[in-house]
Amino acid sequence: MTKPSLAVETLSICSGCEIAILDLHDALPGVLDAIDLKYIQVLMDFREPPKEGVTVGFVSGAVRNEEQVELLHKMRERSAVLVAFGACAAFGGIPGLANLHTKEEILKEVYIDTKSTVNPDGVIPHKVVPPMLPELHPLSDYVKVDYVLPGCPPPPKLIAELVTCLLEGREFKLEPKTVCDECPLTKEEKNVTHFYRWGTKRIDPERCVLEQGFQCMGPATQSGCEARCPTALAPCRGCFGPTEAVDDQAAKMIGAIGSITTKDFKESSPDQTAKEIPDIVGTYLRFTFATSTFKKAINMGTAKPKEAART
Amino acid sequence: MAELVKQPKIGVFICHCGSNIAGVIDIPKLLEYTERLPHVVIATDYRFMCSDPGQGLIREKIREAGLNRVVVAACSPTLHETTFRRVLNSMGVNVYYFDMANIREHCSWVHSGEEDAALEKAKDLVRMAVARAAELEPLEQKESDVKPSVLVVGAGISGIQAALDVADAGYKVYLVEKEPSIGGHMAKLDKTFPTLDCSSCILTPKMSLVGQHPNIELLTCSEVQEVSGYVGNFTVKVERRPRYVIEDKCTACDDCVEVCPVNVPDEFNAGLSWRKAIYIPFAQAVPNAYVIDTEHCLGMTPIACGKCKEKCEPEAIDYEMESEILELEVGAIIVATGFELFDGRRVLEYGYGLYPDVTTNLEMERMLSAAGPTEGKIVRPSTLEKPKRIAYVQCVGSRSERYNPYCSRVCCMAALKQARQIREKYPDIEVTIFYIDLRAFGKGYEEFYESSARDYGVSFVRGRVSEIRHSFESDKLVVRAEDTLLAQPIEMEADMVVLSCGLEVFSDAEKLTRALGIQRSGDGFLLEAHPKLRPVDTNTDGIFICGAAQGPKDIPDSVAQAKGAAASALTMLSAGKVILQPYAAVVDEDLCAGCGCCEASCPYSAVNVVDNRAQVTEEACKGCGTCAAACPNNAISPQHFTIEQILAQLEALFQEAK
Ligand SMILES: Cc1cc2nc3c(=O)[nH]c(=O)nc-3n(C[C@H](O)[C@H](O)[C@H](O)COP(=O)(O)OP(=O)(O)OC[C@H]3O[C@@H](n4cnc5c(N)ncnc54)[C@H](O)[C@@H]3O)c2cc1C
Ligand code: SF4
Ligand code: SF4
Ligand code: SF4
Ligand code: SF4
Ligand code: SF4
Repeated sequence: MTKPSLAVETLSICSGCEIAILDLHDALPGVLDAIDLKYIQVLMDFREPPKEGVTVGFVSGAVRNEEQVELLHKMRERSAVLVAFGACAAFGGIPGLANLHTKEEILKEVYIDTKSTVNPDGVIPHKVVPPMLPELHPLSDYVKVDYVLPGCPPPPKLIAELVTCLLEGREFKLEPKTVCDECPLTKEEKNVTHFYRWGTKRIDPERCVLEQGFQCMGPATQSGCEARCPTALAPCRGCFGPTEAVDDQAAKMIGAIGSITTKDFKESSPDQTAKEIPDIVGTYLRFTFATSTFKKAINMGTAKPKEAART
Repeated sequence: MAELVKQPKIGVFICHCGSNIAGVIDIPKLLEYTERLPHVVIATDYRFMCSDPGQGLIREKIREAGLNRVVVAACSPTLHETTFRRVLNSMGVNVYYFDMANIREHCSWVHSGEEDAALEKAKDLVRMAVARAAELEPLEQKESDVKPSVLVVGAGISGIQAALDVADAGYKVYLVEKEPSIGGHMAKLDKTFPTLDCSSCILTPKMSLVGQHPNIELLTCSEVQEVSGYVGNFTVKVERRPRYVIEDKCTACDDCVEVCPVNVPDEFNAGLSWRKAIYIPFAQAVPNAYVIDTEHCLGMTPIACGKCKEKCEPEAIDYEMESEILELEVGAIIVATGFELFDGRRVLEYGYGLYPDVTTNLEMERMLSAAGPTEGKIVRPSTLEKPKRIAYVQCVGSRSERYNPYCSRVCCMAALKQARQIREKYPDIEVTIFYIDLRAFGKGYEEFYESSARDYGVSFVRGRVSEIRHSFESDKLVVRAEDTLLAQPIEMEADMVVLSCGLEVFSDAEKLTRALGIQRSGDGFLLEAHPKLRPVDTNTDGIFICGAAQGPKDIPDSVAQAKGAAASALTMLSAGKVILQPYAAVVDEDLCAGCGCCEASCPYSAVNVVDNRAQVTEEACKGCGTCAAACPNNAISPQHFTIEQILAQLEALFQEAK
């Protein structure tokens, strides 16, 4: 019997997801025994997924240029099961924040305006590089995705679980609860009067960090990571995106923030709370901006990206 | 369960409400539109849907068309939801398969003169109600026992009357009063309009009944801190401040007062006389016991003073007394916290607080009282001589854009009453009342006004007073106004001016309404559930209001409301059971992560996180849905306004009306 085969394609991404695969550590040899790893650019010098096809295709990263559209379609055609691997592939991730700007603005910033760039003629490369798309998209905007493994990057434990499920022919499914479910910190009372930037105030290592005034996205974020950030006393940034029960992670979190800050208007007020959250997009839409309702509103012309970024 | 799988068969009943709705909205067009909506099997109209034939029509159609959901497009559900639910119930249809589209208050009433737009809006409202109706689910009502006791907050005439009525019916009453004695404002009045019976003569017998009633537990110096629970089953935390005098031991002998070295302006006499730091608020106070005013007491130790304790023979004084928190279990709550007099100092141009001869109507009540600081004599406060002319200034703080827009309803009659009393005692004192309109609306009031003017020679000037000055030459007050009947400015000298200060809501209304979870209207007074049909109910079941706390009121109206509130509470108590609407939020355990955002948001403290999962106290939950908006994982939702139902309504709203 032939071993099931795996191909890993890398689109617009930082490659952290690939490192996470290597991070399987002790489990890696076992996985490699059971699976025929056909294609992974960080380890092998191939330029495209194997023509003969694979059992499982992981695609990490989002789609930002025309070549990536092509590669994604190839992966879809050549993989029996396609997995959106990591936050960028799943919902746009950090690179999705670039959708706050037009393609022209981005190119000008990168190739002309940055301080370290010397480009007196203002040349923007267009010959050897694939043309950039007007916007970044997650995989599901182009192809059918069979499984989503969120995370920035996905935790090795979940990668191993997904692979095991696929090998054994079981469904892989995350419980649709949020990070708070797995969080070991003690929840006392959510009556937040002030918000703080992380690192500007001493943290009580026992207590829920949101209750201490740090913007923790745990309440609105899909669980599965074993609350690895709050466990390390860093607020959850929301890299697992929303659960299947909700449409918009940011909208839900903003609603929750409203509810935990209104108990005591003597101590807090909506205006002041808003001032204490200087970067709404970076706080609530860090990983999901490309797929958010907010983004849709911008596309429909009911919100302006520049203003959105500022408020 | 069989009902659940059934396809929705919706009947829509459109009401004309006479011409209230049909006069603005084109009913045939609305009908034609409604018939084409999904799941609607029948749409029909009638002139008065809430009338007997209207209800009959709904019954008939339910039978004929086998309707399993009903939408009535008419008025507000607060008015007629119960009416139409009864119709469904009589036909064996679960009453929660019902929705109302409010095309009257929300549409025809506010859009007369824009018929086309009103029709479009009515279409939107009906389409939304139909969309929600398709998502409705059957629910079961529950019953809960009612605790056989009532808390009455505030012991003015309203609270006293309500307490007596409930206690006489055989139920336990806890009467909580923040002052050391019961009686409220009425205890300070001399005589009462329009019959001029003496206020104390009619009030004090009731006060002593309260003090002796076996079913009434009187808690003075006490205030409500916290209320939890729900209709029929409230738990109330009351803080009782120490009186430092043991009520049962104190014989009211006055020995302590003789030795107390501290003099304090007496608030009961509006500061016109003095009292000691240990005192009894007034002779007929109930409970008839003294109290120590710690703010002015030199210190309750032998070193600082301790004279009163030394002197008290029955050993009624206890310096060690402490505040205590009492927990009361009651089935219903009646709020009768009354009013506060408008502070005349706020109207700078009238000089109250600056010129001693400018007084208020309440101060005049004390002056007129034989038990008051002047033993019933009218004197100029600055000279203690009899005044020659007294001017009354009406509507101080009332009917004014700067202060309160409403009419305080008692000041005109109170001024007339006092003027007449003054003229009766001293025919040589001239009394002039400056008014905007004289409002004498109650039974016997107009007659009282006529006779005061005719038989007692009170004079009137129509015009708002613009300024009161003190003249150094004449040492009199100069009242300036415009006489609007003669259309000319007028200046009058008077020895004394009485400001007819209006009524404002009791001082700690914000704190108390928060604790009780009841609302206030725009004027600050307590809000009734319906201005006409539910005047003593609040929007929180089991909590009733009465007296001047609900709005400015005279004694007859206060007593009538107090009796109404008592009767409403008694209806509940004697039924012994209350129906709990099955609106409570439910938690989806598969989604809940125990984050606690719902707990933080619930205005009724009805949801708590226990073992990392949200838990709703069904009886306390009002189904308001705040938690559903707060939950970041859609794990909690009230049962009669589910997320699906609201989304269905919104989706319907954003569909174009075709
Ligand atoms: C100058 C003047 C003259 C008047 N003359 C007449 C007249 O001749 N005839 C007539 O019919 N009406 C008259 N009125 C109106 C009359 O005073 C009121 O109708 C009546 O007092 C209303 O009674 P009440 O019990 O509702 O309120 P109140 O008398 O104000 O009693 C309220 C009680 O609640 C207590 N309380 C307040 N807050 C709390 C709290 N948080 N906790 C516990 N207890 C609390 C207060 O201490 C008070 O004892 C006059 C009013 C004024 C100002
Ligand atoms: S720290 Fe964050 S993840 Fe943990 S309980 Fe608090 S909000 Fe939830
Ligand atoms: S805690 Fe939040 S940000 Fe951290 S890994 Fe988990 S989901 Fe991502
Ligand atoms: S049902 Fe409502 S709208 Fe219709 S007649 Fe009665 S009050 Fe008027
Ligand atoms: S807000 Fe939602 S997830 Fe959080 S505890 Fe409440 S029901 Fe559970
Ligand atoms: S619906 Fe939710 S917020 Fe409203 S009372 Fe019930 S538990 Fe509290």
